[in-house]
Amino acid sequence: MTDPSPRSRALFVRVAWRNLWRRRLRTWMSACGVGFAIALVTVGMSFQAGTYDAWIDTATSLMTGHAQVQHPAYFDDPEVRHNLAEGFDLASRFEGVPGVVAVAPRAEAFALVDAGQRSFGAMVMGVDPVRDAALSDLSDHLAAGEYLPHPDSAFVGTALATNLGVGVGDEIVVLGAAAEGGVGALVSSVDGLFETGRAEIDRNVLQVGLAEMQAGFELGDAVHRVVIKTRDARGVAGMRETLEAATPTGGRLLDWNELLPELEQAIQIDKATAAMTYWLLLIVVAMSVVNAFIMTVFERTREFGMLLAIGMRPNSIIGMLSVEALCVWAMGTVIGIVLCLALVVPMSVVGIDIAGIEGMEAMAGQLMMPERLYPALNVRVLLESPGWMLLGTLVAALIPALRVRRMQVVESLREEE
Amino acid sequence: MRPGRGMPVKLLIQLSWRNIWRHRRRNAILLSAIAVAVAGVMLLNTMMRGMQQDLMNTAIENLTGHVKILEPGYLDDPGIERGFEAVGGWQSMLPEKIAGWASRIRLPAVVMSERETRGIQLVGVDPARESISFLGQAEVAGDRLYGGEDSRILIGALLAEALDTAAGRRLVLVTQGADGRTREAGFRIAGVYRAEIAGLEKAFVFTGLAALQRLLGTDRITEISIRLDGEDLETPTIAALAETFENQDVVSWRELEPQAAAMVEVSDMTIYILFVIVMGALTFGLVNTLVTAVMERLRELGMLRAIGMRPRAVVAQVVVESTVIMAIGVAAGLVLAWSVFSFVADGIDLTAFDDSLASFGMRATFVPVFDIRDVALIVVLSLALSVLASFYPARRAVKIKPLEALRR
Repeated sequence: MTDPSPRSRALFVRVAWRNLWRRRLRTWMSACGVGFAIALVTVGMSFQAGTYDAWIDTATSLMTGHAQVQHPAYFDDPEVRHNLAEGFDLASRFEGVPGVVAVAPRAEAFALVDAGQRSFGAMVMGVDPVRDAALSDLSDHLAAGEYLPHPDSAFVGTALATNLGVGVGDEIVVLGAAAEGGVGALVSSVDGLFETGRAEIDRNVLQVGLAEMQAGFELGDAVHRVVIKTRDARGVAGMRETLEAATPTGGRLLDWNELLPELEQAIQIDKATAAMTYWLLLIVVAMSVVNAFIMTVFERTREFGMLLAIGMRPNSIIGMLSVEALCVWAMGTVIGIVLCLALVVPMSVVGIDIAGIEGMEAMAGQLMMPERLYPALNVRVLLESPGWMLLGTLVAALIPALRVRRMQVVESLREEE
Repeated sequence: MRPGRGMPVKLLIQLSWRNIWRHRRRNAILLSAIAVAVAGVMLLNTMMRGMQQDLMNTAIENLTGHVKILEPGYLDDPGIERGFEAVGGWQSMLPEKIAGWASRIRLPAVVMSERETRGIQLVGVDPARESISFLGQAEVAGDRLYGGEDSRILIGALLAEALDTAAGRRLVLVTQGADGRTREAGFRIAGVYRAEIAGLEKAFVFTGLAALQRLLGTDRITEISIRLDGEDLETPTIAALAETFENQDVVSWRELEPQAAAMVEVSDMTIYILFVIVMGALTFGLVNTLVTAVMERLRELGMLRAIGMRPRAVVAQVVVESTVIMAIGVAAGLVLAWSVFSFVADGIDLTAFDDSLASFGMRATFVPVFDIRDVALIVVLSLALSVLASFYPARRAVKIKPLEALRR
């Protein structure tokens, strides 16, 4: 059998397949074990992918966007004087870039907000209402009034408004350090309130018109960030070069991984924890398969002895066992993938109502989870665990199969059936 | 062996023990699979528990304590007008086992320097009482506050860096007085503290409680924070204090740090999920081995049936064999888990992930926790699983017809 013809190879597979069905239950159990592991890992991975997408969306959609251009020193040292001149020109450079959905320039400063009797510190953002509404969903969280209807309007977080004791129609004064080192000030009327549900934003942020902010803080036409939203947050890495090309010298391009390092790391930690579980699962299942093949080889000692006696090469027997393992793997993969698709495909369309699960509602909000989670399937997810499982099954079959090489023909024939 | 009563347990165990040794190789693999699964679940769990513990401690040390007394409405609108005066002798309502308590004033304030304006929390403390919070352990460059009368301030290292200032210099803080009017005051910086969670350094500026009360023109405080010796004391303490502080809210850290509390609850569920996933996969292997063990002994079991063994005793044999295999595997797994754990018990350095850990409220050194309750849970669930897994093989064994089996 040194040079097996296609016919004998087909025969080989057929014999292996029949062998499997001599112990129907065992074969099913092994295949189901493999299928169980594959289903769990693929379902788990698609949930992870869905969760990460949701994390990224939640974290970037409110303020950060998918990428930003800033003064080189602004990220580490957010001071008013670290700004970029000609904000609107800068923004328009990115508008033509393919894949970019929205661009908005912003000026920012931490300032004291005074409402007559009371004053609080807050982050003041000067925004262009039209451009910013296209980019950020802060304007969707309108709780009262309108989103920046006039040039001198202010859009204030509900908690901040409560703290200041102001409502729609009231006037506030914003005081802070101006770009040139003096005192920056502007007067705005509270025309709208927002409530995002995230305390650190509702309590600490107010938005005003960009032109007012630039005038009040002596910024001229300068801004602190040009915020860019792309079609897909995960595609930003691939767009890096085009975006970099549009960035003028003196500007620094940062994508969301850099802007939100804790998000990227949270994903890495979560991935690492999940990966440990997956490996454990695959190893345990592979060991079960080893066990099944040990039993198989043990039971068929006489048969293998016979085959060896009539001139079959040990390698051919090992080959046959490998084909059997391959069949178990194939069955398991089909079971696993079918289970996974049956579970994930409907859910990825409808989504899972996390907020509806009892006790999860509050948790979802706290853990940056959306109200509906859409698991995301992709080819990589579907190939990875079957791939590793294939390796595991083959090794699992080979460990006991190698015993065939050491088999003494005469003795194995004498073995009791 | 009287047929009516079935086989004695000792004999059953002896029998299954010998049967296990008849197939050393395959049972060795099965046992190692169980051991690996158990060890894996247990180790992943020690990590989860460690994370949970860490989150909780951080949340509690973050000026929260297990229980806090606040004026209603303070959380939504923090200010000294939402302060209160504690009734004299309230401490007598505390349980005996507490780590300590501290009363504070905590107000939002704005730091103004020539270059920058920043929002912070100005906290008036009695430094001697702050052993219950992170401030007690924080390293300080310069002086610590000497007492509640100290009118200087302690600022975090990151804030000092951002404001380009240092111990001995002055800083202007703006906050609201008890009359609702804005107070602007200069403070001398006594020292600069370093916190394990870097974010805290930007958030909190400390000064003496009595000195701050004088500045604001009030006798009030805004919170009392109580740290207990154990979490189980939380509910009775809250109940006892709620009677004394009729007009205030007595709240648990879970309400004050909902994110940490949510993560702690998630990790409580994780052990069950892990167990079901990994041990579930193992069940296929276990059932496989048990069925084979039964099929191999067809003749033997048939013979036993023929000489009068009850079906119940046959079932018992299979169940005991399954349980014995599981018990040995679980024991080996726990030993393995413990020995791996003892290598990392002192903590794992996770400095590489520092940003993210801090955003979750975790420290850079990670200490796993080996919880005996989880061991008990794993043992009980595993044994239950072994009984469950023997159901089908046992049925097969009972179905054996003595005559047919003997004819083989």
